Amino acid sequence: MKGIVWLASYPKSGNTWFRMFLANYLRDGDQPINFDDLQSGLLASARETFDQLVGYDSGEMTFDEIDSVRPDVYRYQAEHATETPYCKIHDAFILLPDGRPLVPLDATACVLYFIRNPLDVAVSFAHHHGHDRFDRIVRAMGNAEYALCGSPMAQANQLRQKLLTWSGHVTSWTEAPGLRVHVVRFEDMKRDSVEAFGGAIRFLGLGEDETRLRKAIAFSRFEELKRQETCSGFPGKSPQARSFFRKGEVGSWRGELNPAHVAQLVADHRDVMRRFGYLGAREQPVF
Amino acid sequence: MYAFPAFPEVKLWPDSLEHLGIAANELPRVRDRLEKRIVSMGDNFDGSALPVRGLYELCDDDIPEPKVIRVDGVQKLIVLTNNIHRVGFLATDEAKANSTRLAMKLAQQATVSIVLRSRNAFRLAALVASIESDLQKQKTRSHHLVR
Repeated sequence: MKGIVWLASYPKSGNTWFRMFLANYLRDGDQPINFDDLQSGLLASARETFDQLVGYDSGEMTFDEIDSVRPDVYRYQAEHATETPYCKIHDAFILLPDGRPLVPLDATACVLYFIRNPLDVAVSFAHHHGHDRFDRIVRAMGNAEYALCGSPMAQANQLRQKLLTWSGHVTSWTEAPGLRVHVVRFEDMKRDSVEAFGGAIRFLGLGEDETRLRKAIAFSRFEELKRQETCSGFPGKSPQARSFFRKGEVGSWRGELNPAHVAQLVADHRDVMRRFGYLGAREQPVF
Repeated sequence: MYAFPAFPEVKLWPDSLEHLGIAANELPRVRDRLEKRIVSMGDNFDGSALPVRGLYELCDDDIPEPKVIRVDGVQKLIVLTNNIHRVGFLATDEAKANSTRLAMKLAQQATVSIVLRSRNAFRLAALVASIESDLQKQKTRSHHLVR
């Protein structure tokens, strides 16, 4: 497969979990891989990589200037990859002011898109920011201008990533013309791991070895990731968060969000929630 | 090998300026449409080229207080080569080999340390103190060796 395989998701939707699984699957070793091995994969918003490849300090470029160069960075990475490049990305699939997609189609092999119940995303995302003020996160998930690392007053360790609304993020990737996309639900990764991870592996053309698949799933189970983070920390943890891997549960929103939060999220994202099985016939949350 | 001075100014973002108690809006911008500002070093700038005695690689960590860790052997060379500016743009094999040669020469000449600093707190004074203390220890050590 030629071109970048994008591992795309709104934050806190199982992307890192899948990357750990994929790294274990590709390695096929006798021990779980550790987080250092994960660092060898590409990250679309990596500032250092951008600076190295462009040869210019991104800290002296505007957000829009950086975005205008990013497609060429991905093209370069795709062209110079010695093996299939898997690249994690939280940006929505957006078009730049001149009409070019941020993610160039000619440098793209396919997309795995990870989706999670937005009610659980809200809870996990708030904890990722080190607080439980869910109203702020609910507003952010409904804000089409929302971006990660988007403050102009400080230099974040990653490049700015425009997320759009949660719904906008999902549809930007799953409805983008010209992309081959396979959607993986977080809840299916938890509930029916072999089928969900196996489906992704088949989509990527990585074989049908069930023993290898089951081993990689076991090596990347939540308890193992939590154990590794407790022992040696996780590089992707935000400074404000207590931990990156928190609970990894389905339905944890039920004990944390109030009815107003739930009503607002459902109102903001009704259509997409229904389409991906997160709302029942009477608008009740499924998970 | 010598360290040559660059420009008598430092470029800082408003959040850093705020920690330092400097008003950002009174300073010139690095570029239009960018909030990053230029702080002049004024008289606090030494324009002389000096032999390199030590290099410190700043790394973020979860520790509360800064910590200096000396590296030796091949690890020293790894730190140096990881920090060579835009090494990917060296076009020829000869240039790349020359870059490695210079890194090896520098590794023989200077101490190399990793400085762990808190990613959660702004502790500049403590960071400077830890490096100054380390330099002082080096100075004392070399003084004893000479004697």
